[in-house]
Amino acid sequence: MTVADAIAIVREGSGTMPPDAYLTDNDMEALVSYLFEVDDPVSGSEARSAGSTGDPVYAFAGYRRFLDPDGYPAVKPPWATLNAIDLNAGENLWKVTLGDWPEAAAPGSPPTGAESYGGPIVTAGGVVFIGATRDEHFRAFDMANGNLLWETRLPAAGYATPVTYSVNGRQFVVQAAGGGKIGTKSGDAYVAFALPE
Amino acid sequence: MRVPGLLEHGMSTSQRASYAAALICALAVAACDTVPEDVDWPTYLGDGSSQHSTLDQITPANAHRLETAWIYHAGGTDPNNYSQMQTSPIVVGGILYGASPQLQHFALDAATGNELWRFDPFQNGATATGGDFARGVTHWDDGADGRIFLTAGASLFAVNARSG
Repeated sequence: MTVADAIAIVREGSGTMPPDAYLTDNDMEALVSYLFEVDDPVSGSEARSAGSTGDPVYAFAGYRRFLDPDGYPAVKPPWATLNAIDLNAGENLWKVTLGDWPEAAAPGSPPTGAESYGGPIVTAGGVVFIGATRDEHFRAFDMANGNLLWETRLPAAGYATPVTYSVNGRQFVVQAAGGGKIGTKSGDAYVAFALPE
Repeated sequence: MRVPGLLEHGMSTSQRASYAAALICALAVAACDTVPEDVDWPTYLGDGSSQHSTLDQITPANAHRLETAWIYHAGGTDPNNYSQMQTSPIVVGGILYGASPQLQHFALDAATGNELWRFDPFQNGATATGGDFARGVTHWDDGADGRIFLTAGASLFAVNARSG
């Protein structure tokens, strides 16, 4: 990467990194001087820790995943689980696989689990609702034992926590299906579920 | 409400429902004479952000019958799949408040998904910084006046909850 490349990325953004609208030209010069280790009084090589001989021992390299050559998690499934913990006793009550990635496993294999973003909700009716999975499904589990009660395909993955409420006595559950992370398609739908009237 | 022990007796679904309704009414006569009070989701992640609701109409026994009630398309999906929608909406007085992938905020009739109003912060002074996400909004109401608080870019807005 050249200095010009770095400046362009900071100015224009990249992927989900927003473009910067605030750095002055002097700020930018100081930034790239620091990044490219140009010995410049503005960048202040003293900003590095005293005694530093170069690269830090550890550095954040972005949200990297440990994947196999085919792009699947390079660890043994399940790749996601939903867990119930008794907060009073500190004991795990149940653990079930959350989601599936069928093309990653041999036909007939149990669900693999799927990378998840977004939390569950739980109701007095004894049901846990959760989207979250990259397989673009929305699911209901039995709070008591983790049994999968129902699942449906969303227009896009639901990487947000669902909500529930009632209107005129009818209970609704709504999930935003926005997708757009980790290689899944983007969407714009809010989907409401309810029992038949 | 779950009524244990009904599944073993070979009743049809409607028989079970009738029996359950009769049992519930027998247990709580007064409750059957009134429409149950509706339950909102008035703050981000629910009451006290507990992610819990007191609602009990949907149960392990009937969840398999869930169906789509409505779908609202907020618009603004990025064709290159860069946009996201991490919004967990709120529901106050039967109105659902949320945001599109491009942070256009909206109010819906929570029973039908019909749009009541939309508010575009970028047409009202906010500067898009790119990569903005809305995880949700906040509501305030004193009975006479209601507001929705939302953010976009570096701006915080208070929007009239009834009119947008």
